[in-house]
Amino acid sequence: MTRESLVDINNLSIDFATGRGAVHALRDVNLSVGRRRIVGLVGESGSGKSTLALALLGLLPENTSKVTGSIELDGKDLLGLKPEQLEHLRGRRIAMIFQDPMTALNPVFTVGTQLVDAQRNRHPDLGRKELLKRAAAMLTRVGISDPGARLAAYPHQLSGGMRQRVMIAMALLCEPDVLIADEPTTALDVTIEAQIVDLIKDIQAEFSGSIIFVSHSLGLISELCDEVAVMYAGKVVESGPTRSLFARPSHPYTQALLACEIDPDSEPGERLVTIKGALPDLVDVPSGCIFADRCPARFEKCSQEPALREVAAGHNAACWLV
Amino acid sequence: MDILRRIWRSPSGRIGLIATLLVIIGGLAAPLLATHMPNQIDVAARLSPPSATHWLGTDQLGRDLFSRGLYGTRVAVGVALAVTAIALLIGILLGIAAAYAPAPIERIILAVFDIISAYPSLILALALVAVLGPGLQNIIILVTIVFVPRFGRIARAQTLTIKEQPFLEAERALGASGGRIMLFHVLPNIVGPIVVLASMNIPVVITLEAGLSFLGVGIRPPLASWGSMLFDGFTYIGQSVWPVLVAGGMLTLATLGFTLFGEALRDAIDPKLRREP
Amino acid sequence: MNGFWSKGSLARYGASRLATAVLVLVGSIALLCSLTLIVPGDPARILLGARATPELVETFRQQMGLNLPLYERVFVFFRHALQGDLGTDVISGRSVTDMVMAALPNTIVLALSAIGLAVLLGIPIGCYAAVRPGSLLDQVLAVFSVSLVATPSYVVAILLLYFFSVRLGWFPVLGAGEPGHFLDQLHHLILPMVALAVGWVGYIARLVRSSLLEVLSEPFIRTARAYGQPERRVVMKYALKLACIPTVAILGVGIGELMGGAVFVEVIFNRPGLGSLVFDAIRVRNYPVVQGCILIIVAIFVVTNLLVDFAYAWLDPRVRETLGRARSGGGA
Repeated sequence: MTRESLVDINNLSIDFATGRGAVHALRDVNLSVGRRRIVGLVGESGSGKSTLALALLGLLPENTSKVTGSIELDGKDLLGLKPEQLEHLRGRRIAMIFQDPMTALNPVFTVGTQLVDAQRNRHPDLGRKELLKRAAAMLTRVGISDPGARLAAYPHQLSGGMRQRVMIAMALLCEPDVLIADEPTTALDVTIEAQIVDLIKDIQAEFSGSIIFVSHSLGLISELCDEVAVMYAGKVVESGPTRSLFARPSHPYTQALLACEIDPDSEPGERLVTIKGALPDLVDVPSGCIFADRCPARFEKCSQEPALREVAAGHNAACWLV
Repeated sequence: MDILRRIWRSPSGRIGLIATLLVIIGGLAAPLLATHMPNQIDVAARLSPPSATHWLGTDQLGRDLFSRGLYGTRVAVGVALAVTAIALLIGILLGIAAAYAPAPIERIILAVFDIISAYPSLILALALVAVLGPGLQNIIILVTIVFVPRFGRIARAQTLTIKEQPFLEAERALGASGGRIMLFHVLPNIVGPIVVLASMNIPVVITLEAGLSFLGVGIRPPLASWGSMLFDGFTYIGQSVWPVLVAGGMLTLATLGFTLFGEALRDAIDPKLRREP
Repeated sequence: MNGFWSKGSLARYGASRLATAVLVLVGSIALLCSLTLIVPGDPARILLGARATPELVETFRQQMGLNLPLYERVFVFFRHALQGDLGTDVISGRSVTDMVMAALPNTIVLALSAIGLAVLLGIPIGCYAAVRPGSLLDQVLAVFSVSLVATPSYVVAILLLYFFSVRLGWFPVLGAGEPGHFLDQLHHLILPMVALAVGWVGYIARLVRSSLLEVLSEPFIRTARAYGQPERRVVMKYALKLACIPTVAILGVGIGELMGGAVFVEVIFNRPGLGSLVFDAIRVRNYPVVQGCILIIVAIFVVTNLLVDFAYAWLDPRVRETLGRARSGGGA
C-alpha cells in the first residue's frame, strides 16, 4: 500500500505552545493517500484534522512548538524542507480549498487578479493574459456563467456558493498532485452544499491528483471518498476503505458519529453534540484510551491505550473491542 | 486603583504617569520650588547658561528660566484642564441633548459640530483670536469652542447606543423623568470613553495653547507661558539656545507625559477604544 | 478598477459630499462673521486704534462690510468670492485674491512635500516593523513615534533651525528661496518640510505597522501563502493595500493639522505662504485678509477630505457599494 501512495504521513505529532502549556494537537498520526484516491478526514472541530491539512502545506501557526514524525510527498519529507522549497511546492504540487469562502478571498482585489496570482507558481512563464484566459475557462468548468464579468468582480459581489466555486477553480488551476479541501461546504447552506459536492464529484472524474477531503460529516465522506480516516482528539482512531468502514464501523466513536448522522431529529451542526461529554483536555492528555470518557462500551482494559488493530484488509481501529 | 495599577504595568504607561505627576507637582508647587520670582529681571545676567544661581539659565531679560518654566506649567496645565472640563461639560450636554432632541434641533447641533470640525483646529483658533483677541480668558473660551464637537459627537453616539437598551425603556415605563434617566443612567454609561477622550485631549490643548502663545496671540506677557518663552527664546536663538531648550523641553515633557498617560488609560479602561480613529 | 466610475453611485456620492462641503464653507464664513457681532467692541475701531476719527472708522466699517446685517455680509462675501474676488486688504488696499494666490503655491508645495516625505518614509518603516516585530527598528519606532508625535511641530522646527541652520549652517535660515531657482528653493524647503513631516512619519509608520499586523493574520493572507505566493507579494501587494486604508483615512484629518503646522513652520522659517499671511493679518486684525485666507484654507481642507473619501473608495471596493447612500455628517 505504501508503495503506491503519494502522501505518507508517519507518526506525525504536533504541539502548540499556549499559556497553559503545550497543546498536543496531533499525536502519532499515520495516514497514506494513494494516487488518484480521495481520502476523507472526519472528526469534530478540535480533532486535529485542520492542523493536519495545514501541516501538509507547511502553514502551521506561529505558536507551533514541536513537530515530529514525517510527511512524505513522493517519498520526500516535507518537514525537512526550507521555507523557499515549501513555497515552491504550494500552489504547484499541493493546493488547498479553505473552509470559509467569505474570508478566504482578499476583499480589495478582483477575482481575476487573485486567480492569476495563484497560478504564477504553477505557470511562471505565462503572462497575465494567458493566465486570465485559463482562469476564465476554469470558471466555466466549475459552473460559473459569464466568467469575464466574474473575473472583473470583487469577492463581495459574488454569492457564497460562487465564491467557493472560485476557490475550487483556484485550486484546480494549479493542477496539483494533492488537493486538500478543508470543510469546503460548512460555511454554505444546504442547497449550495449539495451543488458544491456535485461539482467536486464531477471534477474528481477528470482530476488526475489525489484529494484529501476534510469534513465533520460522515455522510459527505461516504459520498465522495475512497478511504476514510476518523480523527479524535489528535489521533486517528479508525481508518480504512470507505465501504469497509461503513459496513463495519468498529470504533465506538465512529459508531457514535454514524448514529448522529442517521438520527433524523438532530439539526445539522448539532449532530456531533449528541455524543455525550466533551473532547479531552489536549494540554493534559489522559492516559489510556482517549475516547474512554465518552465511550458507552468502556471496560477495565480501556485504562490502557489501544493500538490500531486490523478489522479487515486495510481497515484498522484503535479499540480493545476489535 | 486597579486602573492605576494597570497603567503602571506597561513601561510607556509608567513613563507617562511619572511625567504627568512631575508636571502637575511642578505646577502646584511652583512657588515653593522656584528659586526666583518668575518676572524678576536681572539685566546683568541676560541669556546666561545654567549656573548655581540660575539652574537652567536666564532669558533675554535675565529672568530665571527654571522658575518661569515652573510657573508656565500652571498656565499650560491650568488652561488645558479648564478647557477640557468646560468642553466636556458643554459637549456632553449638547451630545445628550442632540440624541434626545427632535430631529430638526439634532440636525442643527450636528451642523454646528460639522462646521466647527471643518476647520483645522489651529486655523479655527486663529480665526477666533482674530475676532475675540488674545488673553488668558479668551484663549480658554476659544479653545473650548474648538474642542466641544469632539466631546459632543462621542456623547451623542454613546447616548444613542445606550438609549435603546431595555433597562432604560423599563425605567421610562416606570415613570422616571428624562432628566433623571440622563443623570443616573445615561451619564454613568458614557463616562468611560469620554474620560479617555478627555485625557487624550489634554496634550492637544497644551500644544494648541502654547502654539497660540508662541505666535503672540495667546497668553500675553508678563504671564509666564511656555509658548511665549519659546517665542522669546526663538528671537534670541542666535545668542543662547537655553530659553528654547527649557521651554520646548518642559512643553514636550508635558505633552509626552499626558499622551502616554492617556494612551495607557485608554488601554486600561477599554482596549476596544483603540480601534477608534 | 472596473465599475468604479461607471455605476453612477459615485456621482451621487460626489454630489452629496459636495453639498455638505458647500454648506460647511458657507457655515464657516457665517460663523466668522457672526462672531464679529457677538464680540464687544468695534473691529474697525480696534483695527484703527482709539484715536481714529469717527469718519475714518465709518469708512472702514463700510469697506469691511460691518454695516451690513449678518446674512447680507455672508451673501455679499460669497457672491464676490464666486467671481474670484475675496475683497480688499483694508490696510494696503491690495486685492485679497492676489495676496492669497501669491501665497498659496508656497504652502501647497510645503504641505505636499511634507506629506510625501511622511508617506514615503512612514509606509516602508511601518512595513518593516510589522514583518519583523521586535526587531531593532520596531523598537526604535515604538519609542520615537510617540515622542515625535507628542513633540509640537514648532518645537521641532525651532530645534532643526537651531542645529542645522544656526549651528551647522547647512541650510538657509529664512525665506523660500530665489524665485525661479529650483535648487535654491529646494534648499530652502528641506528644513521646513522635515519639521512638518517628522511627527507624521512616526504616526504613519505606527499606523501601517498595526494595521498590517492585523491584515497579515486574515484568512485570505493564508490563502495567498497556501498558493505559494512569495512573501514579498503577499505583504507588499495583498496585505499592504488593505493596510493603507486607515492611513489614507487619517491623511484627511492630517492635512488640516498640516495646514495648522504650516502656520508655525512658515512663521519660524519666515517663508511666504498662506500660514504666515493669515498670521500677519490676525495680528493686526485685518478681517478681509483673514476671511479670504480662512475660506481658502477651509476649502483646501474640505476638498482634501473629499479626495480622501474617493481614494478610500478606490482602495476598498466594498466602500464603493455603499457610496451612493448618503452618509450623515460631513467635515472631518
